[in-house]
Amino acid sequence: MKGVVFNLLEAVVRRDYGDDTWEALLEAAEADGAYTSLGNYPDDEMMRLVGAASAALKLPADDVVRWFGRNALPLLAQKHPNFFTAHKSTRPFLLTLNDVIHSEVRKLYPGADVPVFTYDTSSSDVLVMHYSSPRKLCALAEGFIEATAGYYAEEVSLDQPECMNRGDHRCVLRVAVRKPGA
Amino acid sequence: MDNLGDADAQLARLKKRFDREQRARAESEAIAERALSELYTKKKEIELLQLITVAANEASTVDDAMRTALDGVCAHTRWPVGHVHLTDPAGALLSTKLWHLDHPERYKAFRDVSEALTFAPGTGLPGRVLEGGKPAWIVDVTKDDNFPRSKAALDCGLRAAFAFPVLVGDEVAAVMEFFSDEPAEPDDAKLTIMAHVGSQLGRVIERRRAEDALRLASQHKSQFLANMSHELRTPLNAIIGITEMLQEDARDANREDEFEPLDRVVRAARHLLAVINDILDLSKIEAGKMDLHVGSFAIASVVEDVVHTVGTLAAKNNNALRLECPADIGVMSADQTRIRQALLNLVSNAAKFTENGTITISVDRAVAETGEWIVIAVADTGIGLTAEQKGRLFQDFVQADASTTRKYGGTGLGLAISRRFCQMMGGDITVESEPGKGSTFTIRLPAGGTSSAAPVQPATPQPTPRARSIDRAPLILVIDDEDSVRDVTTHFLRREGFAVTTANGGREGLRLARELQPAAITLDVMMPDLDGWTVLAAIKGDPATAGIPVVLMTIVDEKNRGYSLGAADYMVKPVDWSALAGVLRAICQSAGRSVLVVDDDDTMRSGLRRVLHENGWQVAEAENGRVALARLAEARPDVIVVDLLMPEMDGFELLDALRSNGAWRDIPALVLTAKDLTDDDRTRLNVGIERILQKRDRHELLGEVRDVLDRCIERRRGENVAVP
Repeated sequence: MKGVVFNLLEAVVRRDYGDDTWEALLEAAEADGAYTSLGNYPDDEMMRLVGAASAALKLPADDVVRWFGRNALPLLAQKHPNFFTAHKSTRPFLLTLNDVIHSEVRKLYPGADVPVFTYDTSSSDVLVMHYSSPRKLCALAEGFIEATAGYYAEEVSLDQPECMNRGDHRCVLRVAVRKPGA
Repeated sequence: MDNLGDADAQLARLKKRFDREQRARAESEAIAERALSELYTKKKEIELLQLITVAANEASTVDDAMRTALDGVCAHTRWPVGHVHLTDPAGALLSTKLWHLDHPERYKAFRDVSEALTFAPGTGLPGRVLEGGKPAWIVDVTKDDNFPRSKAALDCGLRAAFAFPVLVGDEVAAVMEFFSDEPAEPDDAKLTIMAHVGSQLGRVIERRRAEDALRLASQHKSQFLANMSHELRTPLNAIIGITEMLQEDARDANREDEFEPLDRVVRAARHLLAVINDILDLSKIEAGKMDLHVGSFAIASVVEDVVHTVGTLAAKNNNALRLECPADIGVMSADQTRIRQALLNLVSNAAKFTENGTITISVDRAVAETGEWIVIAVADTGIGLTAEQKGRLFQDFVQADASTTRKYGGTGLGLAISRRFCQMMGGDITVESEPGKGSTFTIRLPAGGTSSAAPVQPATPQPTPRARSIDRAPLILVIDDEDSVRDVTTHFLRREGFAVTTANGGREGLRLARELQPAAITLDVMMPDLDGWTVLAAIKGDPATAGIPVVLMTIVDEKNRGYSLGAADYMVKPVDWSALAGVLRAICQSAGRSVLVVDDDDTMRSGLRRVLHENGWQVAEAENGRVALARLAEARPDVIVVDLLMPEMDGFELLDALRSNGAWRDIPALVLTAKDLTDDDRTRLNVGIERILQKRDRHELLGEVRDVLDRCIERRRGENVAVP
C-alpha cells in the first residue's frame, strides 16, 4: 500500500486524537512509522494499525476504516481541488473514479494498486458500484463516498446487498444521493 | 518531578518522531533519485529508438542502418564491442565486416576469430538467438559452455554479452551481438529495447528485399527483351544477308529470273525485322532508353530515298507518287534514321490506304518566331478518317479501327513510334482528314542545323572507285561468332576493296589483332566465348592494339556504352553495307594522319582528342595560338582545328600567321567557334578555311569535325593521286 495512505491516517489520528494516540497505535501495531508518500508498505501494516485502533477505541474495524475514509477525503479535496470542482454533485464525481481520479493517482504514485469499479447506472436514483479487491476495503470506499456527498452538500444513503467481508465474491455498493430539501 | 518526567517523556517522543521523519525523508529522496535515474534511462532508450527509426527510414543501404545501430547501441549501453551476423540462404549465420569497436587493436583477435566462424542454429550466442528468435544474455562468456569464442574473449578482456535478432516477420535475417568488458547480470529492460531495435532494422531489410525483387524483375524483363531480339534478329540477318549475296550474284550473272523471287525473300524478311524493331523501339521509348543520334544531313536525299523505297508499294495500288521538294531545301540537323523511319511510315501508310489515287509529299522550310522549321506533309486521296478515328490514331497498338488491321496488316505501332520520335526531336506529327476524301499527315521538326543551301554531304554515297587499290588494300579483321555474318561481311567488304580476315570469337580475334595489326576491326557484341564489350576493353587496354579503330556491329543498341569503351563507330545490324564501307574507308584514310587541335576549352579539346584518336588520327593539342605556333614548329600536322576566341593569341591571329608562312600556308584549317560571325569576320577567314562550324551541341560537333576531316583527307588524297 502506498505511503500516502499511511500519511493520511497519521494526519487524521493526530488531529482528532493527539500525538500520543498515534504513538500508541504504532507501538501496539508494532509498526515502523516512517512513511513517505511515494514509498510502498505492506498492506498488513495498515491492517495492524486499523486493528490497534479498533481495540483502543472499542469499535469494529470497518467502522474505524469508514471513519478514516470520511476524514481523509476532505484532506484530499484540499490537496487536489480540481478533481472536485470539475463536478457539481456526487454521482458524476463517482463516475469519474476509474478514468480520471485513479488514473491520476497512478501518475503521481507509480505502481499504486487502486481498485477498479464497475457501475450500474440503470437507475437515475441509485448508483450501483461493484467493488472487488483482495484488500476488502469497501468500508474505506463507503467513508470516501459519504465524505464526497458532504463535500457537495448532499445527503447520501448507502447499503451493501453483497459484501466480500460477508463471504460474497464482490461488494455491491448502492449509493442514493439527495439534495437536502429535495 | 512529574513535570520533569513529562518533559523527558515528551522529549523522548519527539526524538522518536524526529528519527522517523528523518528515515522517511531519506527514503523519499532515495525514491526520487531512483525515479530520476529511471527517467534518464527511458529518455536514453527513446533517443536510441529514435536514432534507429530514423536510420531505418533514411539509410540508403542495410549496412548503413546496421552500422548506425551498432554505434547507437554501444553508445547506449557503454559496451565497447558490437557486431552483426547475417543469415545465409543455408540457414546459418555468417559473420560480417560490420563492427563497432571502441579500440580496434585491442579486440583484433576477437574480431579475427569471429569473422572466421559461422554459427549453426543453437551454436554459440548468435546461434542461440537464431534458433530461438529471441534476445539472449550471457553473464560471462568466459564461463559459458556454449561460447566457442571464449578463449579470444578472455584474451581481449570481454565478459558479458547479449544478442538479439533482426526479424523480418518470423524469420531471423540477422543477429546483432554486443560485449562488455565486465560480467553483467541479465537486464530484461535492456533486452526489451533491443528487441525493438531488431524489429526496426528488420523493416529496412524487408524494404530492401522488396526493392531488389522489383529491380530484378525489371532486369529480367529487359534481359528477356534483349535476348529475344537477339534470337529473332540473328537468323533474320542471316537470311537477309545471304539472300542479298545471292541477289548480287544473280545480277552480276544477268540471271534476272532469279532476282525477283530473291527480292521477295529479302522484303518479307525485312518486313518481319521491321515488326520486331517496332516492338523493341516502343519498349525502349517507354523505358526511356531510346537515344537519338543527331547530325546534319541533306533533306532532299532522305526524302527522295523514302519516295524511292515506297515506289513499288504505291504502284501496287495504282497510286501516283508526287514529290514537291525545293531544290534549295538544304540541310537540317536531327536524327536522320528516325526521320527516315517516320517519313517511311507515313508514306507507306498513305500508299496502303489509297487506291487509284495520288500521294503528294511536299517539303518546306518555314520560319516562325520559334525558329526555323522543316515541314514535310504527306497527303493522300484515300479512305480518310472520321474524327473519332483521328482521336485514337496515335495510340499504341491501335489502327483506325480493328477491321483495318485485318484488311491492311501492320502492327499498329508505326504511327505511335514515329510521333514519339518527332516529339523527342522537338517536333510533332499532326493529321487532318476527311472521310472518303483523304488524309494529310504533317511532320514538323526544328531545322536545327544551318540553312546553308549547299548540301554538305553528297546526296548518295559515292560509288567507291576500285582504283583505290593503288595502295595495298587495307586489312579489316572481322570478329563474329556467326558463320553467316562473317561470310556476308567478308563478301561485301571485299567488293568495297578491303582485304578481310575473320575470327570466329573474341579470343581468336584478340590474337589476330595483335599478330596482324589490321587497319580496323569490326566486332560483334554478343558472342559466346568473350562478349564484345570485353574484347573491346581488351583491345583498348593492350598498347599493341589500342590504336586500332574498332567498329562495333551489333543488334544491341547501346551506342553510348560502345563509345565510352573506345569504339570508333557503332553499326546496328542489319548493317548498311555502304555505310560500313564509308566508315571503314574514313578510318583507314585517317590512319596515321595528324591533326592539331587549338582551343582554350579543355573539355572540347579532350572530346576531340578522344573522337579523332579513335578514328586513327594522331592528335596534338594547344590551348592558344602562341602554343599552337610552337607545336607547328615541332611537327607539321595534316590538318588544324582552331577555335577563334582564345586568350593570348586568338584564332584570327593564328590563321594570319599560318598564311604568312610558306611552309604552313597550305595546311587546311577547320574553324570552330561559338562566336556569331560578322561579315568582316567572314571576309577575314575566307581564305584557306576548310569549313566553319558553330559550337553548339558538343556531341554533334565532334561528329561533324570527324566527317569534315575525313572528307578533307579524302579530297587531298584524290589530288595526290591525280597529280603524282
